[in-house]
Amino acid sequence: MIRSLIPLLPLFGSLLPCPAKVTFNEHIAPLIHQNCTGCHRPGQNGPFHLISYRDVKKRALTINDVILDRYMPPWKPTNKEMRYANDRRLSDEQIDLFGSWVKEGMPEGDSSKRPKLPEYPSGWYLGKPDLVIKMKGKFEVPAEGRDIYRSFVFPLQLPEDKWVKAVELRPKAKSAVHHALFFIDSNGAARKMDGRDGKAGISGMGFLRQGGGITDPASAFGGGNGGLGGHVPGATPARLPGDLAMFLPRGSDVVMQTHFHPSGKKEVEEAELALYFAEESPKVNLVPIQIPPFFGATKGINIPAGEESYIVEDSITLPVPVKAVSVGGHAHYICKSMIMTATLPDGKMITLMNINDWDLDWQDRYQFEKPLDLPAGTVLKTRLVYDNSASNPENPNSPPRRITWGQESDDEMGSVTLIVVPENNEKIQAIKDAQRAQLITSAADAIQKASRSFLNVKNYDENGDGLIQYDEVPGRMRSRIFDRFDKDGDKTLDKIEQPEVQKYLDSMLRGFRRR
Amino acid sequence: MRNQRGVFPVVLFSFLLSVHLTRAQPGQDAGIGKMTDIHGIVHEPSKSQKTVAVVFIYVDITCPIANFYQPLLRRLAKTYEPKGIRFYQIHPDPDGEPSALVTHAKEYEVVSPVILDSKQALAEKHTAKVTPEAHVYLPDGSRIYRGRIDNTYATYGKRRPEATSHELRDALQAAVAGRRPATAVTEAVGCQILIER
Repeated sequence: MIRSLIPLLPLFGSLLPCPAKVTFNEHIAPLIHQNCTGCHRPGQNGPFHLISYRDVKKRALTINDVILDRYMPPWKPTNKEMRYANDRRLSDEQIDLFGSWVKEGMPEGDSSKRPKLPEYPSGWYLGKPDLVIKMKGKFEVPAEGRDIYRSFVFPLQLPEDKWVKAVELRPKAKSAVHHALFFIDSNGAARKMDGRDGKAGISGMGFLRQGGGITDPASAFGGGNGGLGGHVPGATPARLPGDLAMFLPRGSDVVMQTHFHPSGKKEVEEAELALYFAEESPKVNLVPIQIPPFFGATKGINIPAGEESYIVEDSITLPVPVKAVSVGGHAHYICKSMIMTATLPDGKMITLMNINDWDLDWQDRYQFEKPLDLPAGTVLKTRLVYDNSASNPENPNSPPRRITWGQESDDEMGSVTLIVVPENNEKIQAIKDAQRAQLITSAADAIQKASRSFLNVKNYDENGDGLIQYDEVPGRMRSRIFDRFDKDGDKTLDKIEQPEVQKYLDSMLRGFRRR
Repeated sequence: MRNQRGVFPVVLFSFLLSVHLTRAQPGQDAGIGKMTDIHGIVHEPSKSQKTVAVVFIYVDITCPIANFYQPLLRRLAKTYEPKGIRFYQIHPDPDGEPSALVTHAKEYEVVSPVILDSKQALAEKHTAKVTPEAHVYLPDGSRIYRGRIDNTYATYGKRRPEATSHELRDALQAAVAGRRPATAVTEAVGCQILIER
């Protein structure tokens, strides 16, 4: 009986308890080399090396903590049933194995069993690039201070259209660069804005707001038409599957929006970007479906101070069948969770991505192991939850203040973008029409919502004292309202001043409706 | 396996430069003692009449959270050294190389004496747990504060845009004012120190 079960043993391998004696050479080295060393080695941006027995032993208690709370390896989706091609999660068994090694005093074990270190390419990960471009100028990242968002121009202006299979970034300020997103600027706007404050690049997240030549900012988050994806520490650069590629129109520049964490010492950023071109244009283009569209600009995001669970939801019904390639989200500091589901016409629901501890620092794209077939009639739904309370350590304001939709990091926004491929390019228009229809419905909702909150002076009175203090009015409205209606200049709107403000808000509402 | 060629110089340097502690007299500077910094200068801060308090900051050259705090540590040292607070940065690293510590101190513009605690004797005596962690002692050897520098880090990867409580600064302020700080112990977030025995 027992003998007959022996062939089944490998099947239960992952269910078996940890081996009797866990050693570095036999068990821990392969785990670390496969999952940690890629970033934690010389020349990469992991803070310390995790290669040798000494490296790992010294950091063992810290490693144990960060893998237990799944801070490392960085991977945000928690939906276990979905298989992603670039999955970096450790299994529960792997985490237990490491814990057992620590408990046993971190023995090194038999040196003959130590695996060879995987070979890491010394040059560009994907081999010789077709083109390497350097960012315009050098930017000094200060040693300390708040996070910095800055966009840099990579002057390009190629004479012909190109299709890009992959990009790979080499940042110089390795400790400070947290992540980067690549946009395409087709009209040279970024070049003109570059260096206006006397330093290389464009300050803040303002490049998007000012438009540049970007037709669809969502695209950078997914490598759809108009963007080139992003760079996240630890993510392995990969070519798009099959004949898929990202469009790089002739005459355009690449703009990199970079998020820096000051690291304690001054660093200089002067990044290089490698481009890998496709030999021919793809048969079908990648299409980003962003829900809600425009990062929620039309959802009237308006989160009162102290609100722990502010929900933004939106959905769209697919007008044509598509294959979903990848999914990823974007929001700022106070978003705490985001989920995208697909409900198929037969009622079956698939969770495409579920992040229950959103972290702006680790915005990645999650590529499905196999493209997912989503038939026409599939309902794609997203739900984002925001925590604007004092108990959220990532709240940019202390004490909390009302946060509304905006492009700067202290504002809030949010959406989940699914990158899909329709059967052929003729079907793209149907998807765009569905998105436009959804946008109009969404905008109408937002106006209604605004008329209930923004445009009603009573709703500003957060502390309920019957007066409207300067801080209680949303940022963008403050000077507009106080300059006109705060006649006595005491930065407070009293009962006599408030009706005048309401008349003004009513006229704004009529203006919106006419549009 | 460690590089055998690297072991001998490490051991030699550790021997020459590691922390030598005088046996503390009961009730006297039990937590402070005598230290030799990476430049060979001997420090015995409790012996100076001017010393109001001694701060040991446990750090590590590759711990990003410890490095993040270097600019603030520099500012605190510049503010409080003239008021009689002595700052020491302790590296409890058995593999620490003095030359690497010298380079690190230059890169991060460290203004306080840097001590290589390669035998982890200080870390063990102070029961230091993570880097960065601050331990504040009065010249009589009594500890008035141990824990985080401030609350910027709520946990791994959760960083406040700005700290909302500043425990180390408050402890130093209290020491200067001749009183005990309101908070004596906090948990620091950072890279855990493995005491190797």
